[in-house]
Amino acid sequence: MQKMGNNDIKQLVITATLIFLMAPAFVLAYIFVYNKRKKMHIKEKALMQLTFDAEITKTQLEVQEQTMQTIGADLHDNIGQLLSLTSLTLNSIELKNAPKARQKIDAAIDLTLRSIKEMRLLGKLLQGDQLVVMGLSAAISHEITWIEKSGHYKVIYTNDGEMPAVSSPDKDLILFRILQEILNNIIKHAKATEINIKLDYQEAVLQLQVTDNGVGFNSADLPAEKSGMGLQNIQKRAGIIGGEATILSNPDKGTTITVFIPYP
Amino acid sequence: MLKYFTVNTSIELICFLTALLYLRRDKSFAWRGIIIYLFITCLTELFAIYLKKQLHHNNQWPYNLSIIFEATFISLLFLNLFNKYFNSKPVILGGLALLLVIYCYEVKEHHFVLFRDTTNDLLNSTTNDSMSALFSLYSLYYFYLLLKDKDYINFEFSANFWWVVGVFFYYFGSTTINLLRDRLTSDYYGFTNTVLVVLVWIIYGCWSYSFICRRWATTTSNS
Repeated sequence: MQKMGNNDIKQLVITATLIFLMAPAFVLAYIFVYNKRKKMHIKEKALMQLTFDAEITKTQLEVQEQTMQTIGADLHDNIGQLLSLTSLTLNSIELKNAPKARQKIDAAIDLTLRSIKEMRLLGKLLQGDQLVVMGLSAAISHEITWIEKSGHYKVIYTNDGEMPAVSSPDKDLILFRILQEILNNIIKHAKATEINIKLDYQEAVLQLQVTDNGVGFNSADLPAEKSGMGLQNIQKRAGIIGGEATILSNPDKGTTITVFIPYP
Repeated sequence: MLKYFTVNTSIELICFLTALLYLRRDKSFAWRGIIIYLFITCLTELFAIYLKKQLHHNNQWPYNLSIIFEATFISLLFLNLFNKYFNSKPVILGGLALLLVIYCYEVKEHHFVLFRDTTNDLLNSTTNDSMSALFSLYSLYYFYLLLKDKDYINFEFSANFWWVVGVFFYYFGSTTINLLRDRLTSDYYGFTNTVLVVLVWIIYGCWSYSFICRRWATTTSNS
């Protein structure tokens, strides 16, 4: 092969060597920049996890506070009233008038039974934490058994998709509280006879759908303070665990509430 | 005596002494193996100087011999580095087998004493070129694995990283010299030597620092 000129070869070697030395320098610079970004990303992720944990704790405290308020209100307004009425009824019994006394005793028994029922309802609210330890699906089944015992509702529960081996107790508890909120709303307002509960796990998303055949509502017709309580709480709680809740309802056509959360 | 202390041998001896000081109690055989490799390198360089300056003989054959240790020990450490991410035995052994075939071919085709002779226009050192290409690829792949790694590694004090940086600069940077070797006239061997000296200082500088980092990491993790 013909030799190149001395100056040409020198220039070629200098240029090419510089290029071949600059290339590794650029590779190194890129690696350092990338690594710096990776460090920042890891820090941000850790910070987000901290914020998320704080939000979860806050939500749990809020839920607890709300539960305590419900218990307080129920004890004062409901069970307290029932027991006062029972006491009054029993005090007013005239033993000489046997048929009337029988009537009042029956009324007192009825009031006592209602008090027991209300007490059980309160007990369920306090029990949530322990129930979720058994697993979300088992906790839902337990809740359904209790609703079915009342004899007023036909409950159909389906659980599709295999739940992941690793669960998230925090998310389980919040989702369970959402379900309790939905079921309480149905019991209090929907006048439904049938409730469909569907739990589905697909591609790292857990979906809970509750449908009832009750009176339904038009969200536009709900007064702001009323819609603010139950329904907004459901959406807020779902949002905190990175999910969302959709509420579909029409007057006389029942209500469907669907909650999606990333899981675990 | 002073003629044995060239720019190349000085940095090689410094690097060897650093390795001896910081790696001799290292738990990993691959890292301790680098001490042996650097010892062989220093011995080769000094012996080559002796052959050339004292006996006025051709001094290429010690280099032709040391290339075997170069390929083996560097591959061994790459094996150690890659094993954190995947089973790299097939890749490293495959690479070594390829180099061995090329080496045997060159020994057969040219003369063992001469085949890595950079002053001979008619001969190419395919083993050396292939080894450079292979180690450059290993280095790039290692960097890719580092980028993919989910964990954050502080590169400033990472022994593995600085060792690979040295390898990459030297073997990738010497590509020009390797590619244009057969076009160079004897007037410019001095010039190419200067380039090689710079590369040698880069590799042994990075390696010396990596040995210190290695020792720091071991001391920190033990304490």
